[in-house]
Amino acid sequence: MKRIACNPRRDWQQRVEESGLAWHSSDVPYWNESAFYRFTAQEIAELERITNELEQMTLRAVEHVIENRLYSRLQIPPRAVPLIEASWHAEPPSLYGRFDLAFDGTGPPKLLEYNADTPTSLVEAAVVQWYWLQDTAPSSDQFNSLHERLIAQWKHLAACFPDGRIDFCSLDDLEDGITVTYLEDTARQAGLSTSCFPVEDIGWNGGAFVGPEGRELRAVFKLYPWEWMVREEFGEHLADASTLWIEPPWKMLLSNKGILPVLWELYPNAT
Amino acid sequence: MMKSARVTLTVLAGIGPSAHAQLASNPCAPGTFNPAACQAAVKSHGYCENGAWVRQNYQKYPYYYGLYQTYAAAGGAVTTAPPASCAAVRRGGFGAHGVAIHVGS
Repeated sequence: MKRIACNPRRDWQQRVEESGLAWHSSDVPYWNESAFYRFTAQEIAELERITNELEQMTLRAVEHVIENRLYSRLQIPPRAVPLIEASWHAEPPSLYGRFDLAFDGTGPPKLLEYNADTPTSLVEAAVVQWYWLQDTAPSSDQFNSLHERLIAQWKHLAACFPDGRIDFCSLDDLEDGITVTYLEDTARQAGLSTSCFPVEDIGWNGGAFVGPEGRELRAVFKLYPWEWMVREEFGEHLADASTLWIEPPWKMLLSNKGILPVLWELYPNAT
Repeated sequence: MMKSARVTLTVLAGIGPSAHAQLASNPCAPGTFNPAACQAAVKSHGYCENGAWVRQNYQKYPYYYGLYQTYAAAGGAVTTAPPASCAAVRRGGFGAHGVAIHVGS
């Protein structure tokens, strides 16, 4: 792996904004295209192999937490436990997650954390980065098929969604809003019916969660953490409602930093 | 003979009654102005109609009070919208943690 210095595109701010990245600059640099990383095919293959292995290890860690009821170690509130266990056993659909790895190009990659519940940086990785390559080195390859894979996964999950419909919600925030709008776009390209609204607009009618128009929400992608949902006012209704949530409740174990020592205990010799 | 031989309403026939219903229950509309319900609607960014939530981004409350006063002074008829006509649906039960921050990681 090599870090290669390069010149930013002359109109890079406009280019990234056209791709949806409206939050490219702030007090500290965020989007920075004055350098890129070049990987060998062997390094990419190794990163992919280790990522898939990590996925299996983290699933084993979830199983371990549930079997041994280690919820208090992860500060999981009692209200969330039935949700976690029911969703783990029912195996409801899951769309995605993001491992954060540290890799210096010499030693093996190290897991920093697993953003399994509300991962963002998606527009950057799936769209902006791809267009950057098209602009700067279109004949080069890139380990980046997020866009196609998201659409493929929506198609794979479509049968789980009543009436072929899934609704999207997030906080009324620029970055979160654009991220769910992008995900909504991929779901539509997969043939699903969709809508998108702020999470604050979700209602409870006494028996079901409803959307802004009063329609029952049967399947929802929420860019809003489970650890907050279970602690908020409507958290008491989560077990009563039949809404299918993506990501599923058991993912709150993986998005919890307390899963890292569990992984270390289960796999003490893992590099 | 100047008038039409036949007037068929399809889309308009559907829009008319619903538009009237919305007007009838919007507590900030001059003809159905309800001070307390309008203030609540402004604060909640919407109001309830036939058990369903109607999301609406309002101006500040004095704007609607002014419209109402002008309307009433001109002799406009006012039928006060009933308050809390949608008590069955509660909202705002999610989102309290995320004020002014984004949640992604």
